[in-house]
Amino acid sequence: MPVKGSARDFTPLWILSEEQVESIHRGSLDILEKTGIRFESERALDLLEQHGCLVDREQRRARIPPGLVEESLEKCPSLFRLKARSAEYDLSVGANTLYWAAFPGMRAIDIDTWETRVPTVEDNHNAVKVLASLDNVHLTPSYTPYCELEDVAPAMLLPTSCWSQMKYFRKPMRIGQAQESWIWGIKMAQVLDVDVFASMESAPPLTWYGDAIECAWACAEAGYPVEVGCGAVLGATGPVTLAGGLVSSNAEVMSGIVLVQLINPGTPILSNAFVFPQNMQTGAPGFGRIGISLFNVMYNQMWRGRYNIPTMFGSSGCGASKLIDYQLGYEKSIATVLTAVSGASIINYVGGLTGELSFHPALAVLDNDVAGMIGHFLEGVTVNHETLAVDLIEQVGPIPGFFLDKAHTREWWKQEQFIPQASDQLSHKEFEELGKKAALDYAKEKVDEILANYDHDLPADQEQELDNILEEAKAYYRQKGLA
Amino acid sequence: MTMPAKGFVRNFRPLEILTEEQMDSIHRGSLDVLEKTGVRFESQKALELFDKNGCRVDYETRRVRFPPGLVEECLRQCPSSFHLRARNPENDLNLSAGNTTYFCVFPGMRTVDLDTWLPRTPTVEDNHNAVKVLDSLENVHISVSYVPYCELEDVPPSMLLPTSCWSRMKYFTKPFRVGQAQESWIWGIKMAQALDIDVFAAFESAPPLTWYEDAIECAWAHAEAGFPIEVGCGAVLGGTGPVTFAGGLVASNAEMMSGIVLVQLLRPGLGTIANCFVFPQNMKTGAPGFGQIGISLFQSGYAQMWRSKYKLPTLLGACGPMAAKKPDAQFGYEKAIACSIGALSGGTIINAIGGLHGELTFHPTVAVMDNDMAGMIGRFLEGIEVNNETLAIDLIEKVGPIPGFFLGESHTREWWRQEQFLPTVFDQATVEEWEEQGKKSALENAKARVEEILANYEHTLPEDKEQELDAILEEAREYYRQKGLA
Repeated sequence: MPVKGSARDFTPLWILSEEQVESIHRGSLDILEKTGIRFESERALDLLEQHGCLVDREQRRARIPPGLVEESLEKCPSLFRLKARSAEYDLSVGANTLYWAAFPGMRAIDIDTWETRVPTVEDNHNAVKVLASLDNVHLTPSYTPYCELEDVAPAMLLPTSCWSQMKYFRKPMRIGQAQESWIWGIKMAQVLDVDVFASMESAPPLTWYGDAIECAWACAEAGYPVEVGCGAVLGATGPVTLAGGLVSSNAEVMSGIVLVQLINPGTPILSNAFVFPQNMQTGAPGFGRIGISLFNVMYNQMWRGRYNIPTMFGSSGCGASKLIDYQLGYEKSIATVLTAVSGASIINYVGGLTGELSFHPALAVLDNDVAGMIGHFLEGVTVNHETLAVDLIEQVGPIPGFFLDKAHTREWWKQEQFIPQASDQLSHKEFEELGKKAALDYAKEKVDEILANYDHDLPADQEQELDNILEEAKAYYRQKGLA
Repeated sequence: MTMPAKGFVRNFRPLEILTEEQMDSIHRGSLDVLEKTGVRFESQKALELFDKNGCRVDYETRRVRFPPGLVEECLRQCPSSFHLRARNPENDLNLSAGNTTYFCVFPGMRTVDLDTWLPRTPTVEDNHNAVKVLDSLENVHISVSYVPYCELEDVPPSMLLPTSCWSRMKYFTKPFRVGQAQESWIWGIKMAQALDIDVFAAFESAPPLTWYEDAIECAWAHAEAGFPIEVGCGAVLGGTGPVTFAGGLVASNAEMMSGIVLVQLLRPGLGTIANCFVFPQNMKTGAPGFGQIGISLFQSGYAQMWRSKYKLPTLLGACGPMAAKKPDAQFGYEKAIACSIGALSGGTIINAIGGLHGELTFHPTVAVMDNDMAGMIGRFLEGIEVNNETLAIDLIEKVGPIPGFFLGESHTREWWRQEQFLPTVFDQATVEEWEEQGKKSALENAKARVEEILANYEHTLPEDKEQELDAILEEAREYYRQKGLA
C-alpha cells in the first residue's frame, strides 16, 4: 500500500465559473495554434512536424493544432504510482490525495545572524536525513535541499544532490534538467530500482530550451513520469493579469505535454506551476504575494478539474521574509492552505525560506507541522451517530455537566485533533518557567534528535554503486572541462 | 441609507466541507437536544417568557425544553442582513449572510513587552493609543467588547468594561460591541445613544447548554433599545462540549438556537449575529487549544451552517488568540491558516486583529501586521477578473516566445495595481536592499507604523460629545461605588 498522504474529503475550492474556465482554455489553444511555441531542439521540431504541427525552422516555432493538444491531454493518466526504495514510501499521485515535498534553497542560513552561507556536502546529507525523517515530507524536487555546495563544481551540483538523496532520502524524488544531469539520475534510480521523475520546465514566454527537452525525452523513454512546468513572472515573462498569465502558462505546459505524449504515449504527467506576480519595485518575483494563491487556485481548477492531470506547486514554498518570523509564517501558510484546498496533488513546501535563496532544516521541522495541520483539515469532519453524540449531550446536560471524564472523549480525541511536534503549546506560565522557548527552539532540538537517531539503511553494495556512478559523472564532466 | 463600508466581497462559492445530508444530521441533532435535553436559563423572567410561548419549563432545574417548530420559526425571523451605524458614516457596515467579509479586533487581557515577551497591565492611555491604531488600520472594520485590553491599571473590575467602551466611543469611529458583565451594557447603550450610533450586544452562553443572568440581561436591554445582538457559543471540545466536531456543532448550535429564540421572542426580526468561539481542548494542559487546526474545521462547518442553512451573519472569534507567545513563525501560520479558512468558508466577521497569546495578550504592533494579512486574504476573496483584456491573448501573440518580454507593455502598467495587493509593513525588499537598510523585519516596520499613526492621529469627536461621554463614565463610577464595587 502506498503512503496515504492527506485525502481531501470535500469538494475543492474553485474560484472560476465554467464559462471562465472555457475562455482560458480556448485562449491557450489559440496561442498554441496561432502564436506557437519555440522549441530549442531539432529532434523535437522534427517529431512535432511529423504529427501535424506547423513548424517554422528558422524561428524554431511549432504551431500546434488544437486536436493534437486535446488528444495529448487525454493520454495523460489521472493517477499514477511512484515507487520508492521502500514500498511503505511508494506514492499514488492524483485523485483527492495531497503529498508534501521539500522546497529547496540555494544556500544554508545562520539562524542567529540570518546570513546565508554555501553549505558543504555534509550539510546536504544532514538536511536530507532530516527531510527523510519527517512524517509529512513524501517526496522532493531535484535540488534538495541546497543548490550550491562547497568544493563542488557547477556541473556536479545536480549529480551530487541526487546522489545525496539516493543515499539518505528513501522516498521518491525528481531529477534535474540542467547539463545532462538526468543521465546520472536515471542510472542511480535503475541501480536502486526506484522511480524518479523528470523536470521539464519551460522558459517563459512560450519557449523550451534543449536541456529541459532532453531530460524529458530521456525519462519518458526510460518509462519515468515527467513533470512539465511553467514559471512565468507575471508582468515580465508573462502578462501581468492573472487570467492572461494562466492562458500563456497553460499553453506552455500543454506544448510540453504534446511533446512528451508523442515521445512515449501514456507517460504520466505532473503539471507544475511556479508562477509569481512581479514585485514592481524590485523586478524580482513577488515571493509571498497573495497573487500566488489566486494563480494556484485557478491552476488547480483547470488542471485537476478540466484536464484531470495531477498538479504540483512550488510557489508557496518560500516567502519574501528574510527571517523565520511572523511574515514567513503567514506568507507560506496562506498560499499553501489555498493551494491545498483547491485540490493540489503535490506541494513543494517544506524548509524553504527566502525566495529560492535559503533553506533550513529547523524550518523544515516547523513546516512539517503546518503540512500536518493542513492535511488534517483536508480530511474534514466525521459525521455519524457516534460523533454527533446526541445521547452523550443528553446524559451530560447543562452546567455542571462536563465532558472531560467521559469515555467518548478518551476514545475520540486523538482522531479529532492534530498534535504538532514542534509548536509551543504551553500556558504562558509554563513558557516563562521553561525559558521562553519558541517553536523554532523546539524545531532545532528536533533536528539534533533526528540526526542523532538517523538509521542509515542503504545496503553497502548499493551505496558503492551510487558512489561509482557519481565518480563516472565526475570523469564525464572533467573530460568536458566542466569539473 | 448611507453606503456601507466596503469590506471584502467574495466573488466565488465558499469552501464547504459538509454535505447537505451531514448538515441535516447536525441540525436534527440540535433540535433533538433542544426538545429532549433542554437548556438552562438563569433568569426567572426568561423562563416565564418561554413558558408563555409554548416551551416546557422546569422551574426547579431552570431548564427549558423547546418545540422544534418554535426554534425554526425564530431562526426564520432573524434578518439575513442589517445595517450598523458607526460614528463616521463611511464606516457603517452592512452585516449579512451574503458574500462580504469584515475583519474585527481581537482583544487581550494585557499588553506585552516586545523585547521580553512578558505581559504587563496596560494603562488607560495604552488603551486609548491601541484604539487609535485600530481605528486607523484600513482592514479593521469592527470591534468586540473589551478592546483591546481587559485589565487596566488603577481601574476596578466593575469599571473595566465601561472604561473600555468609553475609550472606543472617543477614538474608534467604526461599529463595536458592548459587553455583558456586571450591567456594563447600561453605560454602553447610554453612550451609543449620546453619539446616535449603533452598538450590538454580547449574549454568550455558558456551555454546556446554560445561559447566565448577565448575558440574558444584556440581550434583554439591547433588544428593548432596538440594537442588534450577537448570540455566541464558546465550548471547549472535550471539556464543556463533546470532543468530536460533529457533536460540538450539535451542542453549540443548540445553545445558539435557544438564545436566538429568546431574542426573537423579545423583539421579532431583531438583527442577530452568530458568534463562534469554540476550541478543541489542549488535552495536556486542559486549556483551550489555541491555534489548533480543529478551530478551522469547526469554524468552517459552523460558517457553512449559519450562512447557508440559517442565513445569519457570523462572527468567527477563535482565529484571534494563538498558542504562540510572540509573533513568530508559529504565530504567523496559526493565525493565517485560521483566518484564511474562516474567510474562505464565508465567515462574515473574522475576529482576529491584534490578539497574541490566548486571551492574555494584545499588541497594536501585531494588529498592524495582522492588518496586512487581512488585506491579503481580502484580495484573494475578490478573485479573478476574466475578460478579453485580462486574458491578453492579442498581447501574448504580439510578445511571442523568448526574447519577448511583458514589462515594457502598457498592459502591464495599466493592470498591475488592480491585480496585485501591496502590504504596508511586510518586508518586500531584495536581500541586498534588506541588508543595506539594516535587516529590518516586518515587526520593526510595524513598530514604525504604530508610531507614525499615533503621531498623526486626528481626534474627530466634538468636545460637547466628549463631555457627555465623560459624564456617563462618571455616572457609572458612582453607580458601582454605591454598590461597593468601585
